[in-house]
This record gives sequence, structure tokens and C-alpha cells, in this order.
Amino acid sequence: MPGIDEAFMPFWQIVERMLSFTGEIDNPAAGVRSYIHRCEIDSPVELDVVRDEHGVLHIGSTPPLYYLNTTFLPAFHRLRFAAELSEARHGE
Amino acid sequence: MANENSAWQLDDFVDSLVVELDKTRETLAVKAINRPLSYTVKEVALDLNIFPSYDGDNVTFITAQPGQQGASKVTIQLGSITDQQVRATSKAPTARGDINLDQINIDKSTKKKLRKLGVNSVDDLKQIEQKNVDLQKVSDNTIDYSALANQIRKTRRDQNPPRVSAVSLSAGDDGLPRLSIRGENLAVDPRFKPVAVVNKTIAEVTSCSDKEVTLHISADHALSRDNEVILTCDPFAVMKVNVRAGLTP
Repeated sequence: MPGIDEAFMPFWQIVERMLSFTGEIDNPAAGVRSYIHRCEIDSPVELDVVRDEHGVLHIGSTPPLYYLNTTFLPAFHRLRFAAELSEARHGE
Repeated sequence: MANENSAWQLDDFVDSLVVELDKTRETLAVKAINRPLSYTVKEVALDLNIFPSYDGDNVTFITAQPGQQGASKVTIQLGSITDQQVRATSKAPTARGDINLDQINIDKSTKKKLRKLGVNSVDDLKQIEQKNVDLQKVSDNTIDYSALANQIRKTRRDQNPPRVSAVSLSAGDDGLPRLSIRGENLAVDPRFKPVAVVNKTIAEVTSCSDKEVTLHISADHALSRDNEVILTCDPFAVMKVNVRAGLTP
């Protein structure tokens, strides 16, 4: 039974990696500190949906692998999600 | 290029998607321990290019792969909902003692028809009964309700079978011999009086309860060292007990 294609990653990772930013924009010289409190991402993705030997469905995903116009066009699905700053910051 | 995509049903896909998002949430929670700012995923939507197919029973989808044109589009949107909304829109979890349709020995076609009517367990059937809905009419007389009710009773009985812990012979108040069978779940159906056969002769049941069944024994039963007692507690519970007579020390 095939697993998720190696070019793809589990769906949870793609969301988690898209949120891998520090969120804080600090400019000590200007005396300004800003932070991102909400972020909306709308991105084309490719999907690899496979079922394992136990019948469990696994969703593999990746951002578009090719940006060039080819004769064999990938099927682009679309992922949209919003992420908000957690209400309680760590240590508060 | 990815492997051939597997066909999936919508609930199957959403279940996997929710599991994936739970993993994201857990990972972000771990990251939050050492990072001053942490984010929570609030709304997720996936526009999927899919090819639906119907096999006569179920609609399944296959996600479009590279090079495939003409796919349909399905949008799955997962929003944040409150605990209260979950309670209002979700079915209560299966109660202990409830019987799932899969546990009942009924034909596939009846199971399929019941599922189409939203009946997945015996508790679902009970709720329909309580609302005075005639399942037979709703299903255009395609569901034999009495056969179904019998199968449910049988399944219930199989889960609580009769158990014998002791058998004893003694004299009753009238001086006639009585065979007392004690145990658990013996005569549990008040609509049915147990029937007993001792050594191939019917024996009168003088009293019965879930813990004890007492039989009147006469000379016709020809008690010997080894005796066979067949007790039909109800239509779904028949047991045979071999009783060996012994001398009291």
C-alpha cells in the first residue's frame, strides 16, 4: 500500500510551516515594535490523498512543485486559513 | 509525481483533515512554550478539485491529479464553533449498552435502508418509536419491523446470556420434589414463562425470576444419577444443563 509521496508532506506540516514566522517586527532604532495579530493565507496546493493498509486516509500536501507552464499541468487545489495571535501570551 | 489518489467519502476526508489540524494545534502549542508570540488556526477552507462517482450506494470522490482536466470543485470549510454549538448540532455519543446496527444479524439491504433513514443503533430506533413514526410506512414497507425487533431482542439477550451457578433438589412446601436452578439472567422476559424439559419430559415451572427457576419434579421424570435439564428461558435463550445426582455427606 503506497504512503504519501515523498515530495509531499502531511497536511498538518504545511499549515504549521506556513505559520513559522516570528510575528514580531522590532526596530529599536526607530523605537517601534509591532507584531502580527492576524494572518490570512490563501495558497494553491497540490494534494496526495492515500489510504494506508488500515484503511486510514492520509492527506499529503505541498505548495506547487513547478512554476513553469508545462504540458502536464498540476491540479492546484486551494488552501485558505486564518491564524490569530493566541489570547494569552506565554508567561502571562 | 504523486501515487494514484485513493477514493474517499466526505466524512472520511473531513475526519483526516481534523486529525491533521489537531496535530498542527499540538505542534503550535509546543512551539508557544519558547516563543513570545504564538498563533492559533481559526478558520480553514480547502477548495478541492475532485471527480465524484456513485456506485449505487455511496458517493465517493477522487482528488484530481496532474494532467486531469474537468474536475468538479468542492469547498470544505472548517470554522471555529463553541462548545454549545457542538452540543446542539452533534448526536450524543453512543450510550453504554446501546447496540450498533452492525451488531445485529440483519440483512445488508435492511441495514442500508435504516442507515439512509438516519438509524445507526437501537437507541435511534427507540427515538423514532417514541415519536410515533411508522418505520414500515416510511420505508415503503421494505423494512420488516417485527423481524428487526426480534433480532434486536436476540442481540440484547446474547449480550446478557443466562448463567447457572447452582442446581439443587429439595422438597417443596407441599412435600413434592422441586428442582431449583439458580443463577443470573434466567427468566428476564416477563412476557414469556420459561419452559423446562427434564429427562425428555416437560416439567412444570412453579416459580421463576431472573435469579431462580423452580421446577416441579414427578416420577415421570425418572431422575437417575445423570439427568438432562433443558430450560428455555425465552425465545432467545435456551440452555441445557446436565445434573449429576450425588449423596449429601
